[in-house]
Amino acid sequence: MISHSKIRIDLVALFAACALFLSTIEYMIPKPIPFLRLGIANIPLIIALGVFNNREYFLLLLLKVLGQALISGTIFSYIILFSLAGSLSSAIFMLITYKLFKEKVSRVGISLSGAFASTISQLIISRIILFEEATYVIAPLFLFSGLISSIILGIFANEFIQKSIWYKNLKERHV
Amino acid sequence: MKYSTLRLISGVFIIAGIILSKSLTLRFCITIFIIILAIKSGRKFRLIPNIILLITVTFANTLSPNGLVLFTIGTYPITLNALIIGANKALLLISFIYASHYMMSSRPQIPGKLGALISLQFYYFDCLTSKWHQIEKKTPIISAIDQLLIGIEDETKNNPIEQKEIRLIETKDIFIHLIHIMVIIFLLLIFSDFGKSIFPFIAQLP
Repeated sequence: MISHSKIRIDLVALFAACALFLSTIEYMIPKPIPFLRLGIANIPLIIALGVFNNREYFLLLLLKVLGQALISGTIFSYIILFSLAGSLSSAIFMLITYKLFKEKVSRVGISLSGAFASTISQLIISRIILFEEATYVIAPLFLFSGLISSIILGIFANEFIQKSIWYKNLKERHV
Repeated sequence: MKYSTLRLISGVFIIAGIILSKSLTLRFCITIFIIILAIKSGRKFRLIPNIILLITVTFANTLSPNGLVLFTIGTYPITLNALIIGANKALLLISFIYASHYMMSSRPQIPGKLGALISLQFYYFDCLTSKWHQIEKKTPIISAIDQLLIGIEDETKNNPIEQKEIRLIETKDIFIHLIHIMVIIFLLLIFSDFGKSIFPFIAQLP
């Protein structure tokens, strides 16, 4: 008989594969400015809140960062630092927001908190190692684009949670 | 050693080759090589979806003009560097997808708990990329994702990952996979500064 924890680990791998798949789609979308991203690979992280415990959630995060770095070919470069800092801070903020407010806050709110944390942490890293003072020039653009994309991702996550039969079954079986 | 582990090791070398290849011609050669390996390992190859991917990603990248203007469509400039960057990205994606098909065709198990999880992640990624094309194009996005995920779960339930037959390696397997790795190293060498000094025409290639 397959154990319950084995099924949950399988589920983490499935969510991580979805993040990897979305990373490939994201990679195809041209960026007007390097580092500016839609962040669609974060959708599984937004949806996974309330499905996994903290340990499983951070495992998913680690797999997402590694997969994304592999797809974009940045696994051996300093760019992975940006990805790691952004994803880690965003995951922590989203998790805190979710734990504090549970279903009182929509996925749009959760996504916004994650995007804000991610952008701030990436700007800090950028200030330290890349752009120095010029970071203040690009900061408004990054914050604004993060705001727009996180609202879009949040709306999509909300829609998915409400309409998806797979997600409904998943919640019934595992949560 | 299991056959699947050997294939995984050669796959890791191939992925390193993909990441290290910066020249468009080199990436094209590696992509063709990986597609051949994936077909040999029993995977289907469909030309049209890959050509569509190549064309759309390449032309989508012209939205960020870069380098020499080749021609204009109305006032919209088509630039050389943007086309090269786009084609490079498309080839990276195609090669990565087929490298993943190749590595996962014998369902390898990376040692350790994290390794097992990564193996499983790539197994599911392989399922997603293989099944995505089967979804009816006009299906609404959430229903399409549902169909895909439910399909993968059903397949995994009916055909548990652990039940794959374990095949141990033979000497000829080691030899064949060593050749695969050597081909990648050879291609990287040919397109390196060393290779360019021996074959100057390579320096002229994009």
